[in-house]
Amino acid sequence: MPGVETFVFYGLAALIVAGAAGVAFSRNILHAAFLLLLTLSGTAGLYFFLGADFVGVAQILIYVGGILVLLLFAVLLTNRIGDVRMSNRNVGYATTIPVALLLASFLVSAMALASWPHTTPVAAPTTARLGDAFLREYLLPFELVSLVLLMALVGAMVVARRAVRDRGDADEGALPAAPASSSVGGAP
Amino acid sequence: MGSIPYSGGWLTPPGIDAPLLWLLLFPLLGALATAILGSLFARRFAGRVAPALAVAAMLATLVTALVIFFTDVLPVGERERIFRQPLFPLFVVGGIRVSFGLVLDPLSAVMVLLVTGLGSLIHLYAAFYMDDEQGRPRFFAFLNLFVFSMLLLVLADGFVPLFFGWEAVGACSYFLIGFWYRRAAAADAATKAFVVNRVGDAALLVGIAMLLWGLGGIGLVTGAAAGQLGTVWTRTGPLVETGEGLQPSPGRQKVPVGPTLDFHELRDELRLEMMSRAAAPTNPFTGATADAAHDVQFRPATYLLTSKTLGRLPFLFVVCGLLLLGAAGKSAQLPLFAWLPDAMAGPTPVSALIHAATLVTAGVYLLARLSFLFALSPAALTVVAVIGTLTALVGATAALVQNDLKRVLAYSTVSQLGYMFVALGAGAAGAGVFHVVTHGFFKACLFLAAGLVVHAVAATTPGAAERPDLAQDMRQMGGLARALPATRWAYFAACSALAGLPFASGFFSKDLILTSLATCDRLSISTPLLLAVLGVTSFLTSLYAFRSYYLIFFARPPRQTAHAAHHGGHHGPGQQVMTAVVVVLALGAIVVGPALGWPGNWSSSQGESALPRLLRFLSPMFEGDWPRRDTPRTPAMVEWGMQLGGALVAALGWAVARALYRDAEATAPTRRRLAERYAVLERLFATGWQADRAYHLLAVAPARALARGATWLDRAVVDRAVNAVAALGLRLGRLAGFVDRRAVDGVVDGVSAAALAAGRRGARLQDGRINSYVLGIAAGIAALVVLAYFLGS
Amino acid sequence: MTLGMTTSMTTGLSAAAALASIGLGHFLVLSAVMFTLGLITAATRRSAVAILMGVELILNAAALNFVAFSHYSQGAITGQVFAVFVVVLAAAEATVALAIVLAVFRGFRTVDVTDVSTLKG
Repeated sequence: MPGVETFVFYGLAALIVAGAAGVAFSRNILHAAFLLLLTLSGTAGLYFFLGADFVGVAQILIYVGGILVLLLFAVLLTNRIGDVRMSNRNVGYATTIPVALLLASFLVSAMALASWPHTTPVAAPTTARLGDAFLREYLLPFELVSLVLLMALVGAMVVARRAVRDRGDADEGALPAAPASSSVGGAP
Repeated sequence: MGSIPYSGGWLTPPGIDAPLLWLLLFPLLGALATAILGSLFARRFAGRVAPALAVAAMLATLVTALVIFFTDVLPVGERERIFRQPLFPLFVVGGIRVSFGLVLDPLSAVMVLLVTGLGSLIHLYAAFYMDDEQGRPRFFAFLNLFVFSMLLLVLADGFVPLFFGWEAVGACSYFLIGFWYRRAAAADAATKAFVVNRVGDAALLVGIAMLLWGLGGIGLVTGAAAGQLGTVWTRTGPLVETGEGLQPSPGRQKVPVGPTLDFHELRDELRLEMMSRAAAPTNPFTGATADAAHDVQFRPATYLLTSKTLGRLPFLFVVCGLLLLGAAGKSAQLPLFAWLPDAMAGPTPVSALIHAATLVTAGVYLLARLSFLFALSPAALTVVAVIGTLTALVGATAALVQNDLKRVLAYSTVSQLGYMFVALGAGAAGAGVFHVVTHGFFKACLFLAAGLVVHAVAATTPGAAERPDLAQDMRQMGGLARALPATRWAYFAACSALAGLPFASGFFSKDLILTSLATCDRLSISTPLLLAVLGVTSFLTSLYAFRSYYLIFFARPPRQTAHAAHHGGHHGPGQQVMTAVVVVLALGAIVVGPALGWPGNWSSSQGESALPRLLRFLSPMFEGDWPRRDTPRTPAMVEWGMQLGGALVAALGWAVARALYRDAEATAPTRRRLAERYAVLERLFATGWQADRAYHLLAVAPARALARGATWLDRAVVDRAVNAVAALGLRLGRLAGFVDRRAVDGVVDGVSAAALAAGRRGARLQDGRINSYVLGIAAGIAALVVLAYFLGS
Repeated sequence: MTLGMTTSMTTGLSAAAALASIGLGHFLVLSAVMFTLGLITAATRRSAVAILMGVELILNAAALNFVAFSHYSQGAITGQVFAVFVVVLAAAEATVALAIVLAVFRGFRTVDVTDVSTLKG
């Protein structure tokens, strides 16, 4: 008789797949964004399911709370409110679907065919161990990642700020007489 | 006359000296000098350089001829007057050695003297007659060249040099008839003369070739057959006929036999053969006359000639027929005579020299040369005589109804040449040559006198400037007896000679001809018939001669003439010289006859010394022609009869002419009635018995039809073929262009289009859309995965 | 493809018993599916933001893979370490990407990728 974990897994898996499908095929980009939220949450759930508590939390905090919000901002900033509903037409299914299906089929069959180990690890908090790993074995990547973060921050600001500074000069494609200042986080 | 110092005379038989060559070189160099220097100095000295040079050359030739004649020919014995001058070898064909050489024998000597004598006089006349003409250097150069050609012709030792001269005189005749080439009539006449001559020349050439073939051909004979072609050896020289048979004469050591182109060799061969055959008629292949002195062996070569047949015709008859045709072309006999009247479009001196005295006698000369050949074929002789008779008749009838003075004289020449041919046909070549001489004098006199008359009348004849032949119309003339006295008497003398009145030379020569004909027993046609025709012809001759005389000088009240100023008027120096020449010729026309041809029955001597002087001179050339004839001693009755008849007929003609034409106005109604009654005849005669129309039907029309056919062929076939080829080429070109455009350009364009398309398609990869980049990556990953899957499994 | 699925079911996982215990394979299959969908999103969507969403999906799939492997290897923590890295880097990347998208938006007035291309391909 299938255990609870089976149900949990398949339930979360269903969420994830549904959400991902929605992101892929939804007409409305806002719906897509929220479905992405769903997916990410589902993934977080799976992380918990797998006993990776820190990663799960990190997922929620960063992915859902940061990135997704950012995406939502972007969606809302780059579409007129009225257009949000119908803006997401798709192109090129004819070439993409076969490729994707091909890829998927091989990947899935490869992964399913392989015999994987069946261990049942003990659930234990991972935070300490992660910390340990970060500061011992993976110290260099850890530092590099922080550098990357810094660069990303600065770069984003540079990209966004340059747009602001260029406001006064030739503004190709800009709406005429729309002197609204828009920064990364400002209203249009 | 002095001679250039050699040992002995100028010629020493057998001659290898140059003098014969000088006879040719003087006129030739004269022609060159006249052409070159005359043209260079054409504007100086009133253009007299050319005539002066030409006359000088002629006089030099005459002097040379006279010197040779008197210092070399005459002193030598009668039978030794054969001087050879080999010039240069030409080529060797098979067994024949063809070479160029000259020979001076009695016949050629007579012709040389005639040509140079008459030629000099006519050159002198022409020098003044052609005053004020354009193109005098050309004229006199050709005149000299003509004399050269004629001398070459008569001095030729064989067929080859003869043919050279033959063609050359034809060419010079063309140039001189067409001297005023801008006049259509003159140009056409020259062409007509040349073409008609050509027909004769073709026949001559074929005849010569057949003769050669008949003699055994040019093949090299070897082995046994060569033994049959032997040589006749003589101890001392060539064989000549005497009363005792063939006798040697000084000079040649042997007579080669077989095919030959040399006249004397041929004659010797034939005579030897005839003699041998007579000695052994049954077996012609054996050496017949075993004559120790002569060592004769028989050879079959000439036998072939006399016994071959061509179809049903005897071979020799055909050959002689062809040679006759060749002679007829040059000597204006039937059927090739119509060119002579038209040739009067040339200047009068040309008519006098060429078409009265020399060129037209070339045919007579040829037949005289070959009389030994003709003698072997009585059929051929008959044909010659008949042709001569008919021609004489046609010429006389035509001359009777002409109104143009020169045409009268032209037809008269045709008629008189007919007489000469009659003589040849009767086997009396000597008589024919005699007539050549006398005719030369009186005809030249007539022509030159006509020239004086025409010049005198031209100034007062309306329209004569544009159409010169109007001045020659006798109906425009008349009453000139007092204006041109000397000319009148000269003309009268010449007319008498032409008519055959007993005091002028024509009588003697004509009489000799008729007598020979009367005593000829070899012809296949009845000689009395021919004689009757010739008698009528003589009457007509006298009639037309005196008709012209009276029409010119009487017929109307006397009138004055206006002489052209360029002759110095009536009594200017030019006029006097020309008149003097005419008078000299007239004197010759009277004197030459008795001098050279005093008839035998008028003299008291017997035998051979009774022969007229000229005939005696020529006898070595003609006697001994087989079958052997005795020295012709005609019955006295026949001779007297002929002479009397001839004189009567001539006098009758004169009387009728005088009655009809002396006082033309009075007789005009009579003449008109006669003209109406005989209008048809008159038309027939006037056109030379429709000779031109006959030519047109027989030659011109077929030639034109052939040309049309050829043109049609050319257009329909050749042009079509060429056009088809061109069209094919065009199509090929278009095809090539098509291929080029479609295929080649297509390939090139296709390559570029493919490159462009590939580029465009390739560019689509870089469309700037993230989606496609992602897709590309995905596809790459998919491929790798698939690959890994299959490689790993 | 169906063959593969059937095979996997019979070999890796028997019908009921396979379903009873969740093995590594399940997670891998799931992540493969998520990866594929993310790929489809990135390859077909017109909006740049949507493409970014797809990219997030892909990254997510990768991270899930890492964690799953970590879980099913005895006591190894490496997978989770990398999952954390992935998350963090995803964040950084999303930041920069969205800054670019905004810049593009300012220039082209649209984020439709088909429209923002000036290439002539």
